[in-house]
Amino acid sequence: MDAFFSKLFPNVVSNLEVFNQAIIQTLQMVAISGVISFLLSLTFGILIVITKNGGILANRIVWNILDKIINLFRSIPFIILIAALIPVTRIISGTAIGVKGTIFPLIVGITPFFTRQIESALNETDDGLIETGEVIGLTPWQLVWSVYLHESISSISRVTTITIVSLIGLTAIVGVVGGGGLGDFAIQYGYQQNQFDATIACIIVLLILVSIVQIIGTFISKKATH
Amino acid sequence: MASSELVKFQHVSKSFKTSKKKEHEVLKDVNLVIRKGKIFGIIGYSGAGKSTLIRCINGIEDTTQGKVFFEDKEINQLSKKSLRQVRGQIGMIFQQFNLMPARTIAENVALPIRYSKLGKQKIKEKVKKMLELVGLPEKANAYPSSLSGGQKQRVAIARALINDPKILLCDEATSALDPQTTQSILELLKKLNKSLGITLVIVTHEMQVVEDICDEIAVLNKGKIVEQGDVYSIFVNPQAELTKRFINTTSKLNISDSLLNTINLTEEQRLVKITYISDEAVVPLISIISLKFKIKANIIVGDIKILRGKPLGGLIIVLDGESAQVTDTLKYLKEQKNIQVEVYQNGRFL
Repeated sequence: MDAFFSKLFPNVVSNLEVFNQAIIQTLQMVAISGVISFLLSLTFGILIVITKNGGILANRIVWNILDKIINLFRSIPFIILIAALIPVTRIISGTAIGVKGTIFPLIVGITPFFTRQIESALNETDDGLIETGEVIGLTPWQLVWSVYLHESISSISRVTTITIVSLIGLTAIVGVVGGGGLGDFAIQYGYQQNQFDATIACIIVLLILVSIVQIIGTFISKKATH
Repeated sequence: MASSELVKFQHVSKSFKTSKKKEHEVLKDVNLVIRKGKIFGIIGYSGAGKSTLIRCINGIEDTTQGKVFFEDKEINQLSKKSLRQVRGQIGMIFQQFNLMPARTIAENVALPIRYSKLGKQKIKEKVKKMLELVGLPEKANAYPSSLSGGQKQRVAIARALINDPKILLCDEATSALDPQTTQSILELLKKLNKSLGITLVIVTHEMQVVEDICDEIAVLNKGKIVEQGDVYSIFVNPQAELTKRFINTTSKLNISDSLLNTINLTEEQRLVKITYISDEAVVPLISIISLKFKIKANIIVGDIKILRGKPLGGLIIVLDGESAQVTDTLKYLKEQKNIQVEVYQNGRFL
Protein backbone atom coordinates (compact mmCIF):
# COMPACT_ATOMS: atom_id res chain seq x y z
CA MET A 1 0.00 0.00 0.00
CA ASP A 2 2.80 2.40 0.93
CA ALA A 3 4.59 1.49 -2.24
CA PHE A 4 1.46 2.17 -4.23
CA PHE A 5 1.08 5.66 -2.76
CA SER A 6 4.79 6.38 -3.14
CA LYS A 7 4.54 5.62 -6.80
CA LEU A 8 1.37 7.63 -7.45
CA PHE A 9 2.03 10.56 -5.10
CA PRO A 10 5.83 10.67 -4.58
CA ASN A 11 5.93 14.32 -3.55
CA VAL A 12 2.99 13.98 -1.15
CA VAL A 13 4.47 10.94 0.57
CA SER A 14 7.83 12.65 1.00
CA ASN A 15 6.08 15.64 2.58
CA LEU A 16 3.41 13.63 4.37
CA GLU A 17 3.66 15.52 7.63
CA VAL A 18 3.13 18.87 5.91
CA PHE A 19 0.22 17.40 3.93
CA ASN A 20 -1.48 16.03 7.04
CA GLN A 21 -0.94 19.35 8.77
CA ALA A 22 -2.59 21.07 5.79
CA ILE A 23 -5.67 18.85 6.04
CA ILE A 24 -5.98 19.57 9.76
CA GLN A 25 -5.60 23.30 9.14
CA THR A 26 -8.34 23.25 6.50
CA LEU A 27 -10.63 21.35 8.86
CA GLN A 28 -9.88 23.84 11.64
CA MET A 29 -10.60 26.82 9.41
CA VAL A 30 -13.87 25.37 8.14
CA ALA A 31 -15.04 24.24 11.58
CA ILE A 32 -14.23 27.39 13.55
CA SER A 33 -15.28 29.99 10.98
CA GLY A 34 -18.25 27.79 9.99
CA VAL A 35 -19.67 27.57 13.51
CA ILE A 36 -19.15 31.25 14.30
CA SER A 37 -20.51 32.32 10.92
CA PHE A 38 -23.54 30.03 11.32
CA LEU A 39 -24.47 31.68 14.62
CA LEU A 40 -23.93 35.18 13.22
CA SER A 41 -25.79 34.46 10.00
CA LEU A 42 -28.70 32.92 11.87
CA THR A 43 -28.93 36.06 14.00
CA PHE A 44 -28.67 38.45 11.04
CA GLY A 45 -30.95 36.29 8.90
CA ILE A 46 -33.65 36.28 11.58
CA LEU A 47 -33.26 40.03 12.13
CA ILE A 48 -33.57 40.83 8.45
CA VAL A 49 -36.65 38.61 8.05
CA ILE A 50 -38.53 39.96 11.07
CA THR A 51 -37.63 43.62 10.46
CA LYS A 52 -38.59 43.64 6.78
CA ASN A 53 -41.61 45.61 5.64
CA GLY A 54 -44.61 43.62 6.89
CA GLY A 55 -42.43 41.46 9.16
CA ILE A 56 -43.41 40.58 12.71
CA LEU A 57 -41.14 43.30 14.14
CA ALA A 58 -40.98 45.57 11.09
CA ASN A 59 -38.25 48.18 11.51
CA ARG A 60 -37.12 50.10 8.47
CA ILE A 61 -33.89 51.41 10.03
CA VAL A 62 -32.56 48.06 11.27
CA TRP A 63 -33.52 46.37 8.02
CA ASN A 64 -31.86 49.03 5.87
CA ILE A 65 -28.61 48.99 7.83
CA LEU A 66 -28.37 45.18 7.67
CA ASP A 67 -29.34 45.06 4.03
CA LYS A 68 -26.77 47.66 2.98
CA ILE A 69 -23.92 46.14 5.02
CA ILE A 70 -24.59 42.71 3.54
CA ASN A 71 -24.65 44.14 0.02
CA LEU A 72 -21.44 46.06 0.67
CA PHE A 73 -19.49 43.03 1.85
CA ARG A 74 -20.93 40.75 -0.79
CA SER A 75 -19.71 43.05 -3.52
CA ILE A 76 -16.03 42.87 -2.45
CA PRO A 77 -14.12 39.94 -4.01
CA PHE A 78 -12.79 37.73 -1.24
CA ILE A 79 -9.12 38.05 -2.08
CA ILE A 80 -9.38 41.85 -1.92
CA LEU A 81 -11.40 41.60 1.29
CA ILE A 82 -8.60 39.63 2.97
CA ALA A 83 -6.08 42.34 2.11
CA ALA A 84 -8.44 45.12 3.15
CA LEU A 85 -9.13 43.45 6.49
CA ILE A 86 -5.48 42.91 7.47
CA PRO A 87 -5.27 45.81 9.97
CA VAL A 88 -8.51 44.72 11.69
CA THR A 89 -7.46 41.07 11.59
CA ARG A 90 -4.21 41.98 13.36
CA ILE A 91 -6.15 43.74 16.12
CA ILE A 92 -8.64 40.91 16.58
CA SER A 93 -6.46 37.82 16.11
CA GLY A 94 -3.05 39.28 16.93
CA THR A 95 -1.75 38.06 13.58
CA ALA A 96 -2.80 38.14 9.92
CA ILE A 97 -1.19 34.84 8.91
CA GLY A 98 -1.65 31.16 9.72
CA VAL A 99 -4.93 29.55 10.74
CA LYS A 100 -5.35 32.12 13.50
CA GLY A 101 -5.12 34.96 11.02
CA THR A 102 -7.61 33.42 8.57
CA ILE A 103 -10.60 32.92 10.85
CA PHE A 104 -11.65 36.56 10.94
CA PRO A 105 -11.49 37.21 7.17
CA LEU A 106 -13.22 33.89 6.54
CA ILE A 107 -16.08 34.87 8.85
CA VAL A 108 -16.39 38.32 7.26
CA GLY A 109 -16.19 36.76 3.82
CA ILE A 110 -18.82 34.05 4.29
CA THR A 111 -21.32 35.60 6.72
CA PRO A 112 -23.02 37.99 4.25
CA PHE A 113 -23.55 35.13 1.80
CA PHE A 114 -24.66 32.81 4.60
CA THR A 115 -27.06 35.46 5.93
CA ARG A 116 -28.74 35.79 2.53
CA GLN A 117 -29.05 32.02 2.36
CA ILE A 118 -30.63 31.84 5.82
CA GLU A 119 -32.90 34.75 4.92
CA SER A 120 -34.22 32.95 1.87
CA ALA A 121 -34.67 29.74 3.88
CA LEU A 122 -36.71 31.57 6.53
CA ASN A 123 -38.70 33.44 3.89
CA GLU A 124 -39.95 30.11 2.55
CA THR A 125 -42.10 29.83 5.69
CA ASP A 126 -45.75 30.10 4.65
CA ASP A 127 -47.28 33.47 5.67
CA GLY A 128 -50.32 31.55 6.90
CA LEU A 129 -48.18 29.78 9.50
CA ILE A 130 -46.80 33.10 10.77
CA GLU A 131 -50.33 34.50 10.97
CA THR A 132 -51.43 31.39 12.85
CA GLY A 133 -48.61 31.93 15.34
CA GLU A 134 -49.84 35.47 15.92
CA VAL A 135 -53.44 34.31 16.19
CA ILE A 136 -52.61 31.81 18.94
CA GLY A 137 -50.86 34.54 20.90
CA LEU A 138 -47.17 33.71 20.48
CA THR A 139 -44.69 36.49 21.28
CA PRO A 140 -42.37 37.55 18.44
CA TRP A 141 -39.50 35.49 19.84
CA GLN A 142 -41.71 32.46 20.37
CA LEU A 143 -42.77 32.91 16.76
CA VAL A 144 -39.15 32.99 15.60
CA TRP A 145 -38.27 29.90 17.57
CA SER A 146 -41.41 27.78 17.20
CA VAL A 147 -42.49 28.73 13.71
CA TYR A 148 -39.74 30.36 11.65
CA LEU A 149 -36.83 28.22 12.86
CA HIS A 150 -38.71 25.03 13.61
CA GLU A 151 -40.40 24.99 10.21
CA SER A 152 -37.17 25.87 8.38
CA ILE A 153 -34.85 23.19 9.78
CA SER A 154 -34.83 21.38 6.47
CA SER A 155 -34.18 24.53 4.41
CA ILE A 156 -31.58 25.81 6.84
CA SER A 157 -29.61 22.58 6.70
CA ARG A 158 -29.81 22.71 2.91
CA VAL A 159 -28.43 26.26 2.68
CA THR A 160 -25.83 25.49 5.37
CA THR A 161 -24.51 22.69 3.19
CA ILE A 162 -24.23 25.04 0.21
CA THR A 163 -22.46 27.60 2.38
CA ILE A 164 -19.96 25.19 3.91
CA VAL A 165 -19.00 23.97 0.46
CA SER A 166 -18.40 27.62 -0.51
CA LEU A 167 -16.47 28.11 2.73
CA ILE A 168 -14.16 25.22 1.87
CA GLY A 169 -13.45 27.06 -1.37
CA LEU A 170 -12.61 30.24 0.54
CA THR A 171 -10.18 28.40 2.85
CA ALA A 172 -8.15 27.49 -0.22
CA ILE A 173 -7.99 31.17 -1.19
CA VAL A 174 -6.75 32.28 2.23
CA GLY A 175 -4.07 29.62 1.81
CA VAL A 176 -2.62 31.66 -1.04
CA VAL A 177 -1.99 34.63 1.23
CA GLY A 178 -0.22 32.62 3.90
CA GLY A 179 -3.11 31.06 5.69
CA GLY A 180 -2.02 27.43 5.55
CA GLY A 181 -4.29 24.52 4.74
CA LEU A 182 -4.76 22.54 1.54
CA GLY A 183 -4.84 25.63 -0.68
CA ASP A 184 -1.47 26.66 0.64
CA PHE A 185 -0.10 23.14 0.09
CA ALA A 186 -1.39 22.96 -3.46
CA ILE A 187 0.14 26.33 -4.36
CA GLN A 188 3.48 25.76 -2.63
CA TYR A 189 4.14 22.23 -3.79
CA GLY A 190 1.84 21.69 -6.72
CA TYR A 191 2.07 25.06 -8.46
CA GLN A 192 5.31 26.70 -7.45
CA GLN A 193 7.43 23.51 -7.38
CA ASN A 194 5.55 21.99 -10.27
CA GLN A 195 4.66 18.80 -8.33
CA PHE A 196 1.44 17.91 -10.08
CA ASP A 197 0.66 14.94 -7.81
CA ALA A 198 0.45 17.36 -4.84
CA THR A 199 -2.29 19.31 -6.63
CA ILE A 200 -4.17 16.10 -7.43
CA ALA A 201 -3.92 14.91 -3.81
CA CYS A 202 -5.38 18.22 -2.59
CA ILE A 203 -8.24 17.93 -5.05
CA ILE A 204 -9.02 14.38 -3.88
CA VAL A 205 -9.08 15.36 -0.21
CA LEU A 206 -11.29 18.40 -0.92
CA LEU A 207 -13.62 16.26 -2.99
CA ILE A 208 -13.98 13.81 -0.12
CA LEU A 209 -14.53 16.66 2.30
CA VAL A 210 -17.23 18.28 0.16
CA SER A 211 -18.95 14.91 -0.35
CA ILE A 212 -19.08 14.24 3.37
CA VAL A 213 -20.59 17.69 4.02
CA GLN A 214 -23.12 17.17 1.24
CA ILE A 215 -24.16 13.72 2.50
CA ILE A 216 -24.61 14.95 6.08
CA GLY A 217 -26.53 18.02 4.90
CA THR A 218 -28.86 16.01 2.68
CA PHE A 219 -29.43 13.50 5.48
CA ILE A 220 -30.44 16.19 8.01
CA SER A 221 -32.60 17.97 5.45
CA LYS A 222 -34.45 14.75 4.61
CA LYS A 223 -34.82 13.82 8.26
CA ALA A 224 -36.45 17.19 8.97
CA THR A 225 -38.95 16.95 6.10
CA HIS A 226 -42.28 15.40 7.01
CA MET B 1 -71.90 46.62 26.39
CA ALA B 2 -74.80 44.32 27.20
CA SER B 3 -73.86 41.09 28.92
CA SER B 4 -75.16 38.97 26.06
CA GLU B 5 -72.87 40.70 23.57
CA LEU B 6 -69.46 39.21 22.91
CA VAL B 7 -68.20 41.20 19.93
CA LYS B 8 -69.28 44.63 18.82
CA PHE B 9 -68.23 46.72 15.82
CA GLN B 10 -68.94 50.44 16.01
CA HIS B 11 -68.53 52.44 12.79
CA VAL B 12 -65.49 50.42 11.77
CA SER B 13 -63.68 51.48 8.63
CA LYS B 14 -60.42 50.19 7.28
CA SER B 15 -58.40 51.23 4.29
CA PHE B 16 -55.14 50.06 2.79
CA LYS B 17 -52.71 52.32 1.02
CA THR B 18 -52.30 50.89 -2.44
CA SER B 19 -49.86 53.59 -3.51
CA LYS B 20 -48.74 56.95 -2.17
CA LYS B 21 -51.92 58.71 -3.13
CA LYS B 22 -54.48 55.99 -3.57
CA GLU B 23 -56.32 54.27 -0.76
CA HIS B 24 -58.47 51.21 -0.99
CA GLU B 25 -61.31 51.11 1.48
CA VAL B 26 -61.89 47.52 2.55
CA LEU B 27 -64.44 48.13 5.29
CA LYS B 28 -66.91 50.98 5.33
CA ASP B 29 -68.73 51.98 8.49
CA VAL B 30 -69.37 48.46 9.72
CA ASN B 31 -71.69 48.07 12.70
CA LEU B 32 -72.51 44.69 14.08
CA VAL B 33 -73.09 42.77 17.27
CA ILE B 34 -72.23 39.14 17.80
CA ARG B 35 -74.05 37.65 20.76
CA LYS B 36 -72.76 34.94 23.06
CA GLY B 37 -73.44 31.36 22.08
CA LYS B 38 -74.69 32.24 18.59
CA ILE B 39 -73.44 31.11 15.23
CA PHE B 40 -72.87 34.29 13.27
CA GLY B 41 -72.33 34.14 9.51
CA ILE B 42 -70.62 36.75 7.36
CA ILE B 43 -71.29 36.19 3.70
CA GLY B 44 -70.02 38.01 0.64
CA TYR B 45 -68.17 37.54 -2.61
CA SER B 46 -64.39 37.32 -2.53
CA GLY B 47 -62.86 40.74 -2.07
CA ALA B 48 -65.88 41.96 -0.10
CA GLY B 49 -63.75 42.41 3.03
CA LYS B 50 -64.96 39.36 4.97
CA SER B 51 -61.52 38.13 5.93
CA THR B 52 -60.43 41.61 6.96
CA LEU B 53 -63.57 42.00 9.04
CA ILE B 54 -63.07 38.75 10.94
CA ARG B 55 -59.39 39.63 11.55
CA CYS B 56 -60.42 42.85 13.28
CA ILE B 57 -61.93 40.73 16.04
CA ASN B 58 -58.58 39.32 17.16
CA GLY B 59 -56.61 42.40 16.17
CA ILE B 60 -54.61 40.76 13.39
CA GLU B 61 -55.89 43.66 11.30
CA ASP B 62 -56.17 47.06 12.88
CA THR B 63 -58.90 49.49 11.99
CA THR B 64 -58.55 52.93 10.43
CA GLN B 65 -61.65 54.23 12.15
CA GLY B 66 -64.18 53.03 14.67
CA LYS B 67 -64.03 50.62 17.55
CA VAL B 68 -64.05 46.86 17.90
CA PHE B 69 -64.97 45.44 21.27
CA PHE B 70 -64.37 41.95 22.56
CA GLU B 71 -66.40 41.69 25.76
CA ASP B 72 -65.58 45.00 27.41
CA LYS B 73 -62.11 45.36 25.91
CA GLU B 74 -61.50 47.66 22.98
CA ILE B 75 -59.22 45.58 20.76
CA ASN B 76 -57.35 48.44 19.08
CA GLN B 77 -56.50 50.07 22.40
CA LEU B 78 -54.88 47.03 24.00
CA SER B 79 -51.14 46.78 24.61
CA LYS B 80 -49.36 44.07 22.65
CA LYS B 81 -49.17 41.93 25.76
CA SER B 82 -52.86 42.19 26.63
CA LEU B 83 -53.76 41.65 23.00
CA ARG B 84 -51.86 38.35 23.09
CA GLN B 85 -53.78 37.38 26.22
CA VAL B 86 -57.10 38.22 24.55
CA ARG B 87 -56.07 36.17 21.51
CA GLY B 88 -55.86 33.20 23.85
CA GLN B 89 -59.62 33.49 24.23
CA ILE B 90 -60.24 33.76 20.50
CA GLY B 91 -59.68 30.62 18.45
CA MET B 92 -59.34 30.78 14.69
CA ILE B 93 -59.33 28.34 11.79
CA PHE B 94 -58.44 28.98 8.16
CA GLN B 95 -59.22 27.87 4.64
CA GLN B 96 -55.73 26.41 4.22
CA PHE B 97 -55.74 24.85 7.74
CA ASN B 98 -52.27 26.31 8.52
CA LEU B 99 -50.93 23.32 10.38
CA MET B 100 -47.19 23.35 11.06
CA PRO B 101 -45.78 20.73 8.65
CA ALA B 102 -42.72 19.96 10.78
CA ARG B 103 -44.77 19.19 13.89
CA THR B 104 -46.80 16.11 14.72
CA ILE B 105 -50.55 16.45 15.17
CA ALA B 106 -50.18 16.41 18.96
CA GLU B 107 -47.47 19.09 18.80
CA ASN B 108 -49.63 21.19 16.51
CA VAL B 109 -52.58 21.01 18.88
CA ALA B 110 -50.33 21.79 21.87
CA LEU B 111 -48.69 24.83 20.26
CA PRO B 112 -51.02 27.50 21.73
CA ILE B 113 -50.34 26.26 25.30
CA ARG B 114 -46.72 25.28 24.76
CA TYR B 115 -45.45 28.39 26.54
CA SER B 116 -48.15 28.43 29.20
CA LYS B 117 -47.57 27.52 32.82
CA LEU B 118 -49.27 24.15 32.41
CA GLY B 119 -47.05 21.16 33.05
CA LYS B 120 -46.13 18.68 30.32
CA GLN B 121 -48.48 16.04 31.69
CA LYS B 122 -51.40 18.48 31.79
CA ILE B 123 -50.72 19.60 28.23
CA LYS B 124 -50.61 15.99 27.08
CA GLU B 125 -53.98 15.30 28.71
CA LYS B 126 -55.55 18.38 27.13
CA VAL B 127 -54.24 17.47 23.69
CA LYS B 128 -55.66 13.98 24.07
CA LYS B 129 -59.03 15.37 25.12
CA MET B 130 -59.12 17.79 22.17
CA LEU B 131 -58.20 15.13 19.63
CA GLU B 132 -60.97 12.93 21.01
CA LEU B 133 -63.39 15.85 20.75
CA VAL B 134 -62.68 16.23 17.03
CA GLY B 135 -62.61 12.48 16.47
CA LEU B 136 -58.93 11.96 15.65
CA PRO B 137 -57.33 10.42 18.75
CA GLU B 138 -55.32 7.90 16.74
CA LYS B 139 -53.52 10.56 14.71
CA ALA B 140 -51.57 12.13 17.60
CA ASN B 141 -48.15 11.08 16.30
CA ALA B 142 -48.83 11.51 12.59
CA TYR B 143 -47.62 14.47 10.56
CA PRO B 144 -50.06 16.83 8.79
CA SER B 145 -48.91 15.74 5.32
CA SER B 146 -50.43 12.30 5.92
CA LEU B 147 -53.91 13.72 6.66
CA SER B 148 -56.84 14.49 4.36
CA GLY B 149 -58.24 18.01 4.12
CA GLY B 150 -61.10 17.27 6.46
CA GLN B 151 -58.80 15.68 9.02
CA LYS B 152 -56.45 18.68 8.81
CA GLN B 153 -59.33 21.02 9.55
CA ARG B 154 -60.35 18.88 12.53
CA VAL B 155 -56.82 19.15 13.89
CA ALA B 156 -56.93 22.92 13.30
CA ILE B 157 -60.20 23.04 15.25
CA ALA B 158 -58.61 21.05 18.10
CA ARG B 159 -55.69 23.50 18.12
CA ALA B 160 -58.04 26.48 18.12
CA LEU B 161 -60.03 25.09 21.04
CA ILE B 162 -57.22 23.94 23.33
CA ASN B 163 -57.18 27.25 25.19
CA ASP B 164 -60.93 26.96 25.91
CA PRO B 165 -61.71 30.10 23.90
CA LYS B 166 -65.02 31.95 24.11
CA ILE B 167 -65.26 32.39 20.39
CA LEU B 168 -64.09 30.53 17.31
CA LEU B 169 -63.44 32.48 14.12
CA CYS B 170 -63.80 30.42 10.95
CA ASP B 171 -62.31 32.06 7.88
CA GLU B 172 -63.64 30.16 4.84
CA ALA B 173 -63.00 27.04 6.89
CA THR B 174 -64.85 24.73 4.53
CA SER B 175 -64.04 26.39 1.20
CA ALA B 176 -61.18 24.03 0.39
CA LEU B 177 -63.22 20.93 1.21
CA ASP B 178 -65.55 18.75 -0.84
CA PRO B 179 -69.29 18.93 -0.08
CA GLN B 180 -69.37 15.78 2.03
CA THR B 181 -66.39 16.83 4.15
CA THR B 182 -67.88 20.32 4.42
CA GLN B 183 -71.00 18.75 5.88
CA SER B 184 -69.05 16.77 8.47
CA ILE B 185 -67.01 19.83 9.52
CA LEU B 186 -70.21 21.89 9.81
CA GLU B 187 -71.77 19.13 11.91
CA LEU B 188 -68.73 19.19 14.18
CA LEU B 189 -68.90 22.98 14.52
CA LYS B 190 -72.59 22.79 15.33
CA LYS B 191 -71.89 20.12 17.94
CA LEU B 192 -69.18 22.26 19.54
CA ASN B 193 -71.49 25.26 19.62
CA LYS B 194 -74.12 23.19 21.42
CA SER B 195 -71.90 21.24 23.82
CA LEU B 196 -69.34 23.92 24.69
CA GLY B 197 -71.57 26.95 24.21
CA ILE B 198 -68.83 28.51 22.14
CA THR B 199 -69.73 31.43 19.89
CA LEU B 200 -68.90 30.89 16.22
CA VAL B 201 -68.19 33.48 13.56
CA ILE B 202 -68.29 31.98 10.10
CA VAL B 203 -66.98 33.77 7.06
CA THR B 204 -68.03 32.17 3.81
CA HIS B 205 -69.07 32.77 0.23
CA GLU B 206 -71.33 29.73 0.23
CA MET B 207 -74.97 30.34 1.12
CA GLN B 208 -75.34 26.65 1.84
CA VAL B 209 -72.99 26.98 4.82
CA VAL B 210 -75.03 29.86 6.20
CA GLU B 211 -78.27 27.97 5.65
CA ASP B 212 -76.86 24.90 7.38
CA ILE B 213 -75.61 26.36 10.62
CA CYS B 214 -75.90 30.11 11.11
CA ASP B 215 -78.33 31.75 13.52
CA GLU B 216 -77.65 35.27 12.34
CA ILE B 217 -75.98 36.63 9.26
CA ALA B 218 -74.48 39.80 7.87
CA VAL B 219 -74.21 40.24 4.11
CA LEU B 220 -71.11 42.13 3.08
CA ASN B 221 -70.75 43.91 -0.25
CA LYS B 222 -67.64 45.91 -1.10
CA GLY B 223 -66.84 46.51 2.55
CA LYS B 224 -70.35 47.50 3.54
CA ILE B 225 -72.91 45.48 5.44
CA VAL B 226 -75.96 45.59 3.19
CA GLU B 227 -78.19 43.45 5.33
CA GLN B 228 -78.10 41.68 8.67
CA GLY B 229 -80.47 39.82 10.90
CA ASP B 230 -81.59 36.37 11.88
CA VAL B 231 -81.13 33.81 9.20
CA TYR B 232 -84.80 32.83 8.78
CA SER B 233 -86.13 36.33 8.25
CA ILE B 234 -83.39 37.10 5.79
CA PHE B 235 -84.08 33.92 3.87
CA VAL B 236 -87.83 34.51 3.64
CA ASN B 237 -87.62 38.23 3.06
CA PRO B 238 -84.30 39.37 1.67
CA GLN B 239 -84.07 43.09 1.02
CA ALA B 240 -80.75 43.71 -0.66
CA GLU B 241 -80.20 42.65 -4.27
CA LEU B 242 -77.01 40.78 -3.29
CA THR B 243 -78.80 38.84 -0.57
CA LYS B 244 -81.46 37.77 -3.06
CA ARG B 245 -78.77 36.59 -5.42
CA PHE B 246 -77.11 34.57 -2.67
CA ILE B 247 -80.40 33.01 -1.60
CA ASN B 248 -81.22 32.07 -5.17
CA THR B 249 -78.11 29.91 -5.20
CA THR B 250 -79.69 27.60 -2.62
CA SER B 251 -83.30 27.74 -3.80
CA LYS B 252 -84.75 25.54 -6.50
CA LEU B 253 -87.97 27.51 -6.54
CA ASN B 254 -87.42 28.93 -9.98
CA ILE B 255 -89.01 28.20 -13.27
CA SER B 256 -86.77 27.82 -16.25
CA ASP B 257 -87.70 28.90 -19.77
CA SER B 258 -87.61 25.34 -21.05
CA LEU B 259 -90.01 24.27 -18.31
CA LEU B 260 -92.21 27.26 -19.06
CA ASN B 261 -92.45 26.27 -22.72
CA THR B 262 -93.89 22.89 -21.79
CA ILE B 263 -96.73 24.51 -19.87
CA ASN B 264 -99.26 25.93 -22.26
CA LEU B 265 -101.53 28.00 -20.10
CA THR B 266 -105.09 28.38 -21.24
CA GLU B 267 -107.06 31.57 -20.78
CA GLU B 268 -108.36 30.52 -17.33
CA GLN B 269 -105.25 28.86 -15.97
CA ARG B 270 -102.87 30.76 -13.71
CA LEU B 271 -99.28 29.99 -12.87
CA VAL B 272 -98.79 30.84 -9.20
CA LYS B 273 -95.75 30.91 -6.92
CA ILE B 274 -96.42 30.37 -3.23
CA THR B 275 -93.61 31.14 -0.79
CA TYR B 276 -93.58 30.62 2.96
CA ILE B 277 -92.82 33.85 4.75
CA SER B 278 -93.51 33.02 8.37
CA ASP B 279 -93.08 30.17 10.74
CA GLU B 280 -96.77 29.56 11.42
CA ALA B 281 -97.96 26.02 11.11
CA VAL B 282 -97.99 24.68 7.60
CA VAL B 283 -101.56 24.04 6.49
CA PRO B 284 -102.48 21.62 3.71
CA LEU B 285 -103.07 24.47 1.28
CA ILE B 286 -103.42 22.44 -1.87
CA SER B 287 -106.03 20.15 -0.35
CA ILE B 288 -107.93 23.07 1.11
CA ILE B 289 -108.18 24.98 -2.13
CA SER B 290 -109.07 21.99 -4.20
CA LEU B 291 -111.86 21.04 -1.78
CA LYS B 292 -113.06 24.54 -1.12
CA PHE B 293 -112.98 25.93 -4.64
CA LYS B 294 -113.26 22.68 -6.63
CA ILE B 295 -110.11 23.65 -8.44
CA LYS B 296 -107.24 21.59 -9.79
CA ALA B 297 -103.85 22.54 -8.47
CA ASN B 298 -101.02 21.09 -10.50
CA ILE B 299 -97.62 21.29 -8.78
CA ILE B 300 -94.88 22.21 -11.24
CA VAL B 301 -91.98 22.91 -8.87
CA GLY B 302 -91.73 22.23 -5.15
CA ASP B 303 -88.90 23.20 -2.84
CA ILE B 304 -89.76 23.21 0.82
CA LYS B 305 -87.18 22.76 3.52
CA ILE B 306 -87.06 23.27 7.23
CA LEU B 307 -84.70 26.02 8.35
CA ARG B 308 -84.11 26.24 12.10
CA GLY B 309 -87.39 24.33 12.55
CA LYS B 310 -89.39 26.65 10.33
CA PRO B 311 -90.67 26.04 6.81
CA LEU B 312 -88.79 27.72 4.02
CA GLY B 313 -89.35 27.65 0.28
CA GLY B 314 -92.60 27.05 -1.51
CA LEU B 315 -94.39 25.74 -4.59
CA ILE B 316 -95.03 26.76 -8.13
CA ILE B 317 -98.47 25.51 -9.18
CA VAL B 318 -100.88 25.82 -12.05
CA LEU B 319 -104.42 26.66 -10.98
CA ASP B 320 -106.91 25.12 -13.35
CA GLY B 321 -110.64 25.75 -13.25
CA GLU B 322 -113.32 28.16 -14.25
CA SER B 323 -112.41 31.81 -14.26
CA ALA B 324 -114.45 32.67 -11.14
CA GLN B 325 -113.04 29.75 -9.21
CA VAL B 326 -109.49 30.76 -10.08
CA THR B 327 -110.15 34.34 -9.00
CA ASP B 328 -111.67 33.19 -5.69
CA THR B 329 -108.80 30.85 -5.06
CA LEU B 330 -106.24 33.58 -5.66
CA LYS B 331 -108.16 35.88 -3.35
CA TYR B 332 -108.21 33.19 -0.65
CA LEU B 333 -104.51 32.49 -1.04
CA LYS B 334 -103.59 36.15 -0.82
CA GLU B 335 -105.51 36.40 2.46
CA GLN B 336 -103.24 33.79 4.05
CA LYS B 337 -100.71 35.53 6.28
CA ASN B 338 -97.95 32.96 6.29
CA ILE B 339 -97.48 32.83 2.56
CA GLN B 340 -96.59 35.17 -0.23
CA VAL B 341 -98.47 34.67 -3.50
CA GLU B 342 -97.14 35.77 -6.87
CA VAL B 343 -98.95 35.28 -10.17
CA TYR B 344 -97.04 34.81 -13.41
CA GLN B 345 -97.76 37.72 -15.72
CA ASN B 346 -95.88 39.17 -18.65
CA GLY B 347 -92.92 36.88 -18.24
CA ARG B 348 -92.41 37.04 -14.48
CA PHE B 349 -93.98 36.48 -11.10
CA LEU B 350 -95.63 39.58 -9.67
